[in-house]
Amino acid sequence: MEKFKGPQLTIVLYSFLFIFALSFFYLATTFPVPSIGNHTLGPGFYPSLISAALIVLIATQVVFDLKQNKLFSRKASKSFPWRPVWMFSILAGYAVAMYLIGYLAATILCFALILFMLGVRNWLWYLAAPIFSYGLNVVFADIFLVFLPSGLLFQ
Amino acid sequence: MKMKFKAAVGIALLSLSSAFAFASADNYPARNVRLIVPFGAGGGTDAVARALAKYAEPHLGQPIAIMNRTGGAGGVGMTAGANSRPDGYTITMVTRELASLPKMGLMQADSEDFKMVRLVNLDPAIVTVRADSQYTTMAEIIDEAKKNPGRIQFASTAKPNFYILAIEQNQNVTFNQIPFNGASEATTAVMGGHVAFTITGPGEVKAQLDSGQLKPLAVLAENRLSSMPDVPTMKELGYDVVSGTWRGIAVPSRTPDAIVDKLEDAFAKAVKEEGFVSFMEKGNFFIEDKSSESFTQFIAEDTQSLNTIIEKM
Amino acid sequence: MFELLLQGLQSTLQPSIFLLLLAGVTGGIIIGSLPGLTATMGVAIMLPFTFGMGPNASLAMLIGVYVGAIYGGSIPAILLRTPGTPASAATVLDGHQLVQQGHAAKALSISVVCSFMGGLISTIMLITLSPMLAGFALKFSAPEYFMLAVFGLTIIGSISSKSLVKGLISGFIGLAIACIGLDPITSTPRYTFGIMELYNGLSIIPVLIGLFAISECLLQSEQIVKEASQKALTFSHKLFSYPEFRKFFPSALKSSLMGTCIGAVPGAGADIAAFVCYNEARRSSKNPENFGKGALEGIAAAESGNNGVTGGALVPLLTLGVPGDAVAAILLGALTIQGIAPGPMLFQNSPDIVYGLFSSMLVANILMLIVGLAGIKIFCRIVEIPKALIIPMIALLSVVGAYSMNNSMFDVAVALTFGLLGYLLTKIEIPLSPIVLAVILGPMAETNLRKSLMMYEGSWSFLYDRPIVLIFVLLSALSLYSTWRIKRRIQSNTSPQLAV
Repeated sequence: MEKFKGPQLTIVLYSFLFIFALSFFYLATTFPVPSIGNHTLGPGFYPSLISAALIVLIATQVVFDLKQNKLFSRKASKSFPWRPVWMFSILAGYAVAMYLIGYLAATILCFALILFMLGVRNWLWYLAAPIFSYGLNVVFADIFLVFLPSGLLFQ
Repeated sequence: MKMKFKAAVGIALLSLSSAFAFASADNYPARNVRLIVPFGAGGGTDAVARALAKYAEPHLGQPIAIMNRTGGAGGVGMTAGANSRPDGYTITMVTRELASLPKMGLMQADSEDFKMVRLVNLDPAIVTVRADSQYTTMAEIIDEAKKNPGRIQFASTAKPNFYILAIEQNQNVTFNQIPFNGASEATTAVMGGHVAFTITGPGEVKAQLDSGQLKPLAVLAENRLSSMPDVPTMKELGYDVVSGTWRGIAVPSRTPDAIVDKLEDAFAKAVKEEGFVSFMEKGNFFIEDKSSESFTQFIAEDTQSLNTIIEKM
Repeated sequence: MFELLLQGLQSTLQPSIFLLLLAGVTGGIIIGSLPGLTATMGVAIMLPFTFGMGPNASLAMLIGVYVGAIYGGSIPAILLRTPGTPASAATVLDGHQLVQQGHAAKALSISVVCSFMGGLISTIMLITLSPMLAGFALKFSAPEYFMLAVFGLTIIGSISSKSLVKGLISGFIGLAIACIGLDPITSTPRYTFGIMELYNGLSIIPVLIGLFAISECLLQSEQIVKEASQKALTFSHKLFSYPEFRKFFPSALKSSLMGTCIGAVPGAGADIAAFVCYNEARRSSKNPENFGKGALEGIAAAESGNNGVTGGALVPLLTLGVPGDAVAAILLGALTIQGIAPGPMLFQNSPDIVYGLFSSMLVANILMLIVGLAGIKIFCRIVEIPKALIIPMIALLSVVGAYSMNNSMFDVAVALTFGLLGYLLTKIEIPLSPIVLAVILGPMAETNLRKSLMMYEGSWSFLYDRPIVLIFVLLSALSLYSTWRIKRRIQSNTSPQLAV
């Protein structure tokens, strides 16, 4: 997918939100109704109210966008945003790595990866990775006594 | 810059190698021990855990670090504790929720997944009303509730509230249970005259009782409290209800006995430390020192009585 | 009273206590500025260290951490769009906008001066009006909490958004998310799918970190231009001017008073106060359309409001013996450990402790002002770090922060999910702050509405037969009216195409 079209994202996201609201509403109707004499609304009342409102609002917005031809005619042909995808993958990988190999090694590794992904090629900058990682560790673990993962593999 | 980098790498390697240290009962504890507290910083369980850890450290010979692991009314932290490595380096502060949550289906682990180390604290519950309340005795509340079921408003500190459920089921009455987020909000509502009465730990209402803003009606204990000798027990009043919350130390069930013994020894000594005793007295927490064996039996009994309440709910 | 306060100040200014206070304030600012470490956590961590100290020293240290941490959270909120604590979520709205316009130092200076004002005024009110405020707090019951939350929620749809509908969509997503967890009244699991971590609902901190910090990193990584990213950025080092001070002073003053009152009510903390004060400042402003675009009054209101809570939260502690928020609960613990029972008897039994506490608060706020002002130059350096370096720092710090709050990988997953959601929603121009506002206020609204109905046995009369409730009903109506007024103004000022 070389060319990235803005409108596609809009449609996908609105559909996603719409499905989210619908299933939210459906689940709310399955919650038990309170027994009589409790003088209160059941657990399903508020969520169903919220999701119904959400459904109406999303529909309104879609109608607005259709009226102004925004939904299908937004300027397209931006290149696909690869860097956020990379960024997100690195962060998700970071969480897993922290769990497996411990905070310090994972942080140094991922810091360097992000620098590389952002196009930094000056090696001096990569020194920031261990300094930042170690500094943060000192602040969290040594000063404020908050545990950072030591790594499953090394326990 | 380069020196710092070298130092950082050196320290990183050092910390990795120390993490490989072999865990066995002989050299236990070889590194610091973490204590999982299933409730947040600032609450009663957290306060007791931090004080206990402080006084147990010298006897254990290693630092004890507190790790708050909140969620699911304590269920998340205790399940994490039950599923941790049985090497004695992760221990858990277990509370009464261990006896109630599993039966309600709100917690995966249960007391079978733990080996109990030591019970340290048992706080009997106390019934309080506003100082100028129309109710002056427990009997008045019960009688009124029998006449008008579901009308008297009760400020509940948690949902479900096993203190009030025990009274309701024992006396076959119902109250209008209004849930509050913890004891401080519930007592404020009672002081403000918005709700008729509440049931809390004695420490949570001590200040208001001393200042005369709240009035105690009864304690849900076997015997009268030493600090409040004038307050009758429910049993004395003819209602057979005994209820309270407790806190103790436990480890995963597969932990070797030698390690459990070492831990129990340290905590048994900590409970007797003068500093800990005075902390508990001042905080209005009640020390209940039970050995591993009687703690296990105690939990079994409490679980039994809570299960009966839950089944009737 | 004055004499007692003077004695208190004398004991606070002893070198040993003064140094503890300074250490507490500085440590508090650092704790607050790190996402994932909150004021509550900071004070709880410090508590065991105070076991061996005297009561005055112990309280001075804890108060220092408290005051420092509530302020400290605003530094990253302004500079990096990453609120260090939930109390600073409202500061992001205008604070970060100002930084993007190049006025980092100005935003920070307003923040510290208004925090100081909030802290100072609330301390003075604490010293002089405690019994009155306690009476006010006792009047608060479920109906009052419900309408307070509704008033806070009326801001949805107007903050930082060009489109009312999109703002509302965002707000309702937040309200929906806030339903996850055990139902607060009946304990029925809602949307938990058997996942135990969800029983208490999503923690606010990972949601906040995800929506603001991680989504920002994703956006920045997309927009970054290779060459520019490696250059140092420059910002104006000018603080606010006197005319500007005159402009935001009234809203700072009002927010300080409001923050104190909200703090005095148990169960409503600094995060709620900041949003309610922000909403009130916008409602009463002559130029409400500037809010969310770097309005000085916006930062002022949020900052005075959240620090105003610090003094207010101690009111119920000292007069009723009930903590006003989680931090006050730990202070209560600290007092009882020292053998002092808080409550109305405290003023008679140990006035030295009470006035020691008051003077510690006064000095802590002054120290916060000094440390904060002195630090502005250093803090500004942070935004001047080249983007390519600051992005990995924020991103990784966010993950570590989300983890450290509760030592939980689940929270990291929550933060990442909301980071992605925030990024995608920004792409379709749905604002993010209404989600945060709704997640903070939504549960308060629902729980207290249902509690009110239980207390009134199904009748809705609580909406009109309680005076404080009526005031909030009126304020909410005015707030909605002002939203409508802003829309009208924008509509008449811009071409119809943009005026959705």
